[in-house]
Amino acid sequence: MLHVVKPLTWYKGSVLPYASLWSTLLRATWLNDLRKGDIYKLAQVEDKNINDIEARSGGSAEIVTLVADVLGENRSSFSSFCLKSQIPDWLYLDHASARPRCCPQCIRLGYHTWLMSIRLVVECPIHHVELRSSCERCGGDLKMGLAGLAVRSLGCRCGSKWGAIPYSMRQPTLAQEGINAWSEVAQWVHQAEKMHVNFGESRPDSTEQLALTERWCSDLGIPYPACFEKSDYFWHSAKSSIEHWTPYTANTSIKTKNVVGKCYEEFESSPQLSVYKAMSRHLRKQAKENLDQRVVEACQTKDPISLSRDFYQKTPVRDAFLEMLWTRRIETHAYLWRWPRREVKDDNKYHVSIFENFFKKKPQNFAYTELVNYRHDTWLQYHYSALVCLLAWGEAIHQVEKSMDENWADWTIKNIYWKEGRIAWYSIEKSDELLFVGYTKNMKKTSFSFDIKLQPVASELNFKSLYKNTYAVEMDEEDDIYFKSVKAVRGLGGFLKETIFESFFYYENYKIKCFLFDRVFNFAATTPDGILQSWGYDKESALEAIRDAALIFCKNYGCVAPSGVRYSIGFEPSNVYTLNLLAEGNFFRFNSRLVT
Amino acid sequence: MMDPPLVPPHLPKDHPLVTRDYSLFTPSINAMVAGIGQWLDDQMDGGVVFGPSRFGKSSGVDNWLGSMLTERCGQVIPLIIWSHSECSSAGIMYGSLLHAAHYGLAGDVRTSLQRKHQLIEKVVHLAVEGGGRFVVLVIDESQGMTEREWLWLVEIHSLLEKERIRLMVISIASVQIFDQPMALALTGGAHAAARFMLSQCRFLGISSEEELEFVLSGYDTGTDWPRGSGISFTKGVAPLAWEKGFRMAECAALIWKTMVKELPSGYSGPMEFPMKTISQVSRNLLLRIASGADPLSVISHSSIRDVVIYCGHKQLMSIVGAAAPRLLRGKK
Repeated sequence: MLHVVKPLTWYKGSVLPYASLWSTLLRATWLNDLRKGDIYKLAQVEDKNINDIEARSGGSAEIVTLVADVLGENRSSFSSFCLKSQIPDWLYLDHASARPRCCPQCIRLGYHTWLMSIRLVVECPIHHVELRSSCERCGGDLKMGLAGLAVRSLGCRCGSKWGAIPYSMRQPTLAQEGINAWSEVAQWVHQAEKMHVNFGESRPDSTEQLALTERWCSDLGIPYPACFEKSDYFWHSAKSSIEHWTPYTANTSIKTKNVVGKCYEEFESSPQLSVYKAMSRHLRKQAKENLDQRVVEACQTKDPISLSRDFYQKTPVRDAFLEMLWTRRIETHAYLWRWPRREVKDDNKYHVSIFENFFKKKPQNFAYTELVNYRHDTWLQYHYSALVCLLAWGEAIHQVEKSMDENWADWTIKNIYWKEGRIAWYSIEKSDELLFVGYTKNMKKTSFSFDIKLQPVASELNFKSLYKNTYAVEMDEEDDIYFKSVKAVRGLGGFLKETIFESFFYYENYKIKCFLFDRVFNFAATTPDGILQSWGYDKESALEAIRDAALIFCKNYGCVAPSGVRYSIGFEPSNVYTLNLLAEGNFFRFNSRLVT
Repeated sequence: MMDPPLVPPHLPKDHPLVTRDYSLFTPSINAMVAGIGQWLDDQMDGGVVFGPSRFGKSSGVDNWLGSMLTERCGQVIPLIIWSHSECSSAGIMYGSLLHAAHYGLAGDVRTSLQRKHQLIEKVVHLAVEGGGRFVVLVIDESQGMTEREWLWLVEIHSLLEKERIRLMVISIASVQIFDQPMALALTGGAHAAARFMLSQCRFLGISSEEELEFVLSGYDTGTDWPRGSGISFTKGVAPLAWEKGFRMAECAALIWKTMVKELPSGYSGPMEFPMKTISQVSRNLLLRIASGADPLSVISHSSIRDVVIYCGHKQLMSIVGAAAPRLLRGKK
């Protein structure tokens, strides 16, 4: 218990709502001409080594209690935001200024709050002047140093003083509009305390984060304070616009007891399941034979989270997935380029070491509240992976379309920082659920699913058939090579309007469905799963090319068929097609299946 | 044979009567508070309370003024009681005033300018806390104030006026202060005199047997110790005598007569006696009775005479007599 010998000049009850400890000490310094260490002396604190920086920026509740005792104030008079550190750290990354900001007029009136650091507040809600972090006269940084709990300087080094108004320094008042505004901001910050966010390099730059804030507040049901600038203000100076950001949302129940099982059930219908499938395929290809069994186990235990977790942490795996996405697009001899730089080495086991590391540590680039537990952690990891997939999807589409437009295959993969500044996600714990919203800057208005919408030009019958089978193609079963065109509009961009033909060819006893796309100068043929693609100068040569492609594919990948495992490639079930490769002895069987 | 100690061993060492840590209420104090209250009502800038030494001015200011003014005005009157000590610089005086205002950093090293700022803020704070726009500064022993000190005070007064705070300066002085307004006016300190010394109030001594009886009855009824117990000093220290009906107030007539009789020859001053003598005599009597002495012998004429002489009554009244012309000049 502190024992204060004699009081200072201080007007009890004059600590304004949300006022920073710094501004309280500014006033106390002004009123009493405080010097370094005076407060410690009055409070009879002998430990002179108390770190002053703590008083300004650190979360030292003891300092607040000490100051309250010396000034004769109740501890409760000091707001929960009286210290800089009481604003969640993650806000200081992009949403709040690390350098203190203040309203020049509020300072004169003896008021400052750390809530002014929130960069979404551009103007002081009371005086409608721009909040500053520099001296009005010389432009130098605003110094807010404390020495021994006294404000080091009541002005700038350039000689410009705060210009305090004595009456306000004694008993400052805060206009009701200010109280209302800062209350809203405080509520917002309180919500932010309960949030988990991405603070890795993949997060967008600050301006984009600010611009996205209104959106995620809306998506997460968090009130957006009226004194915050609208998102348009920030988009104006951002490198992108809201159209470039593809949203993604998810939610899960916090209270579910059967945590893991329940959690995964929700994922079953998620498009991210394909990530798992892609990864398991990749791991099978990358790993030694004995690792196949592990992949099998991973498939059986339905643990896509661990795989997707690995997905974003391991660049080669990501690249492989990206390539897989690419190969879903038409490209001459694409099959020859699958995992082009793959080198099978012993240390490829490293890529699947996730099973050992899974429970050990949280990644360092997520900001968590203390409440987050293992289950939420994995849940967030999972959806973060989904966002990476979404981004990769956009990347792949972008690059493939570029290749196609230029009739030149650009297979280079930009390994370095490909995610940098492109993934924003925010998650909050509401009463009984965990909400997640994410945005990826893939510059496309594409959905993640492989969704192709066709527009019929024929009869109503065709129309029905169109919606029954996503690829609406009229065909004559009797004639294997019979084409009838429909006009198609693809949702993915690239093929805005084109003619689609469907055909079949046979490999040994198996009937393989192919599609032919009428391009400007030539025809592209592809199988529905997108693995086999080829070009030709006319329909027939395109089909021949894909037939050759199938032969090469089967030679290359069909020789090893461990343990009768069914490997599945493609997107399902919300996506369109899957092509199952059933291993039967030493042969692959193509089994195409339509998913409605 | 050695005389027994005046303070009987069985009395608690912290009894106010033993430590002399008590103040008896006198009609003079009442008159002083009434006078100051009047000045407050009139929102005067200041006034002078003067009287001979040892009449009980300081005791009245220290022990009664604050609470009585509060009672009179129905609110806490912000009061700084400064016992003047000579200040060689403005900074020292401001520091001394800050100390009197119980300011935490009064003893710290500051420049004169900084101390002035601290003082202004402290006074403004006291005024605001008091709920009004004024603060009462009581300067005890103000007869020692130098002209420079008055000027520094005038400066503080002016600065506070700019803050719309009225600093009311009550000077408590021994009689020679009465000469001072004119002296200050003549030496250039007219504005100090004009501000703070326009009103005067003489602090009277005990001037009648009835007043003395009233004062002494304080031992019987107006005091209590332990605090809140309701046991008066007389009852507490001399319970047997109290049971037999002894009261200090009954000694008033005899003490008064003795004091009159023991005045120095040719005394021409007012018939007023200082509280110092009265409290010393009455304490002496009460402690002797507390020691177990027979009350009848203690309050006998000869016994009281011995005590009065022992207390230096004659010498003190000689000094009062010497200041008599000034005192009478100030008598309303």
